[in-house]
Amino acid sequence: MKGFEVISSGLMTTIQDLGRTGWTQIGVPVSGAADQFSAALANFLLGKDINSPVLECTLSGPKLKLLIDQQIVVTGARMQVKVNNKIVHHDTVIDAEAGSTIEIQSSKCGCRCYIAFTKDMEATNFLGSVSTYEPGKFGGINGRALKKGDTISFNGLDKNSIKSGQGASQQFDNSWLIKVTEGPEFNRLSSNAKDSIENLEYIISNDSNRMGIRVEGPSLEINESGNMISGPVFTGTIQCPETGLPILLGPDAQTLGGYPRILQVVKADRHLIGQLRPGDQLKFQRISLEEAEKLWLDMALSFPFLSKI
Amino acid sequence: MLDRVEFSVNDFAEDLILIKCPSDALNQNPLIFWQLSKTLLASLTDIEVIPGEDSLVVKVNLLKNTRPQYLIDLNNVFSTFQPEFKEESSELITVPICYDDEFALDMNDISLSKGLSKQEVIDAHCGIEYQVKMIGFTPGFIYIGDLSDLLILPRLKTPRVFVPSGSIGLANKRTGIYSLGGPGGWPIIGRTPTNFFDPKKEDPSLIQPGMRLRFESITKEEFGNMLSN
Repeated sequence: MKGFEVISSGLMTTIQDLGRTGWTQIGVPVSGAADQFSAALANFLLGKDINSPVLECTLSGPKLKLLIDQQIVVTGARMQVKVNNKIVHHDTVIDAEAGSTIEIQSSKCGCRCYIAFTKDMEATNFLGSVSTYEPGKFGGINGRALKKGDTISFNGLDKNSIKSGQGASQQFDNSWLIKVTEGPEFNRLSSNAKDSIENLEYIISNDSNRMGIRVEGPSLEINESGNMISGPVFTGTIQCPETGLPILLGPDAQTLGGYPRILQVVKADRHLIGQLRPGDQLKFQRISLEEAEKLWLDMALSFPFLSKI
Repeated sequence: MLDRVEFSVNDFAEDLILIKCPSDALNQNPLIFWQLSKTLLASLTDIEVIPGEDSLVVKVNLLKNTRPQYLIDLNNVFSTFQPEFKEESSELITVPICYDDEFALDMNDISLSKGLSKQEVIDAHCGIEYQVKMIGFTPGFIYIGDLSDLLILPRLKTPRVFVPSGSIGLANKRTGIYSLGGPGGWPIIGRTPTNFFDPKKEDPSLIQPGMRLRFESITKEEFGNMLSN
């Protein structure tokens, strides 16, 4: 059945779920929502399986026209949401009738917001996930972002049973403190770089996408000659090439990489990578593996819907 | 029969465990981590496995199992793991490659830094038979080796933001095929018109580690013809 029409697409609006696991051994990245917390929350608030497809809107959102009655939830970056020209709130269930327009405006804080619908959007399932991976042209709508004029279908099932999710709202800002642990090649950094890394301030570069986030700022002194054998990398791995400017890997990260893996964003903070926007300030805070593990277990206890991530 | 391999377990992150092995075990069996990845996936649940050439990472789910329990399970697999020692696969794949300047983005730098003419670079690259060492990086990226000592080069100091699909690069002992376009840090020596990753197939990667492989130099015209077919 027809779900909604795309009146304008926004900068980059894609269908995502929580990603495609189990295929990294042939180089297929996990993909999925860049901010998994917000995507899962949107589905949770509608009483859906947290892995259901959502729309991921980047920096500036789309304008959509609903073709059937739906309940929707918008989470993530604080982009203003209007239903039939009336401002509505994030993180709450909104009733919208057939014919309603849903307009997501540009963000000032945070990079990506998520829209979940009562019914599931129909999208191409590839290797067990509908997540859009643009470089490989798979998942989503023919592996691409939404375009003006697209009509997205819903499948017939209504699986929701609305729950009252409380207190799950995230804070959004233009400066971020992200917690990290030492990566396998941390010791390639000079002792000066190791000592100062928590004090350095980086600016998110325009050369950033779902694969990786580049930064501008002070160079880290590193013993690197470009001759490592490529080893496994993940969302949240921070690589450092010879130029000394760290690269944070995102949800479409490659599976193997040959630049030193100096740091790893802790599991409890990995969803924040999806909210870093060009121009934002970024600092790192080093913690131990034990602290990182405890943070994640505490977070999963506070938000039981995360248990499937 | 090979000796039992002493794998070592290292920290990568709270949910990532890095496995390594002594270099003599790797020299004896360059596909050891590829084989170990298959054994781990068949033996354990609630893990993801990402094999590299000289290491492997197991991603664990801390909400399903504790880290110490995962370490016990991993050690149990290691203690019974039998590396397969097989003769090189008889399948030989020929990869057409065009070394024209339009595609060989770093040919001048490669030839300058190695003190070789362009033709000497081409001869060194396409004159020998290789083995497929690993698949990974991006969908269908193929790690191939060993490269002639004449062509050993480091990665670029700053990776390119975009490398076109089919590009063939060099890094250290490896030459590799970028099946998809995207960012990349390997100096580029040429491009193939053939696509080795087909999302429509049940197993999309048409090439497996262990296969034999050689390059065949083609002209720009042949490249165009093969691409349009």
